[in-house]
Amino acid sequence: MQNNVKSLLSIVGISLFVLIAAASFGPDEATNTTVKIGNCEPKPPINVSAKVNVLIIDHSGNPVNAGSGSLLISDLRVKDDSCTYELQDFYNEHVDIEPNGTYHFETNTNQHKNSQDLYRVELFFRIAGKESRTIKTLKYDKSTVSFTLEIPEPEYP
Amino acid sequence: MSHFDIIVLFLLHPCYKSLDIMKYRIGVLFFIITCLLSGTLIYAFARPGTIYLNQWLDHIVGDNFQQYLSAMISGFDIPGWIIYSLPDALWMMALITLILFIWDFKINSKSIPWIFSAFITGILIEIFQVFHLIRGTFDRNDLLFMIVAACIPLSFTLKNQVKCKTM
Repeated sequence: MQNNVKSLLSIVGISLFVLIAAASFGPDEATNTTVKIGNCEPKPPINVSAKVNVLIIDHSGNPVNAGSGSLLISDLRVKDDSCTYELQDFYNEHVDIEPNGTYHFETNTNQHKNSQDLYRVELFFRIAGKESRTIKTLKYDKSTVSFTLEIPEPEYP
Repeated sequence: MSHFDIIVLFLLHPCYKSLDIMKYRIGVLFFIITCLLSGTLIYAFARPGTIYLNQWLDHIVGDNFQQYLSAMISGFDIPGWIIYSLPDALWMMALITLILFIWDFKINSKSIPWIFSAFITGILIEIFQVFHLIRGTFDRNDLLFMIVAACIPLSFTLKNQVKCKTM
């Protein structure tokens, strides 16, 4: 086989494998997801950011540097003309745990002016081969959310 | 000679050229497809239905097919490395084997750029996840598994190449 034919086949092969890899991705579950909306009620405008704290602990409750994951934060605000959500801002952060077992992230400041305006905070985390997904919300003036994850129990045969 | 025999001969025989070349090629392609299918099955059985692959599976086979597969293994405690890292490793092994196959299992100045490109493509897919350039969760174990998986067909080829040159 000619070398240029082999080169062409190599390009096709690599491209095909990239497509196969792309099939293993999923749609982003945070940008197109909202939470159930309650009674919309106008509130005084406030500037608020979302502060996220992640703590990883062992079975004894001691902080440990383990695992990694993704933090997805959506700033969902109620539309002016209807009681429905509109995505205003979105963050996708890689969670890299610090040596003391913690991770911190803070969004930019955004203005909330309705009781239902909120930050939807979603943490995907993989630790010791186990994957977890936790979703929390910060309504109107709430600004701090914490996640504490414990290393899974070791598996004995 | 079965496909399995040909694969074993490919791995053990120092000079695969002495085999029937057509059977040998079919055997290698069978090995590549087996790697990809195994990875696909792991995704189908153990990963969420939101993944495109599983959505297509539901679309092709029928509604809730993927949920049915997931339910089949719900009682088993499958290690995380099988669910998350092994499919990546199988993908990488299949890709490197394919490139080696195209270049007649010769590692030389012509094939090395393509082998390197294939390897870097796989590694970049994982690295890009750190910077959110593509979706997914970066995991050091995935990276390690992919590097080891790439080394397996390369080391066999290199070993066979050295043996054949000295014979």
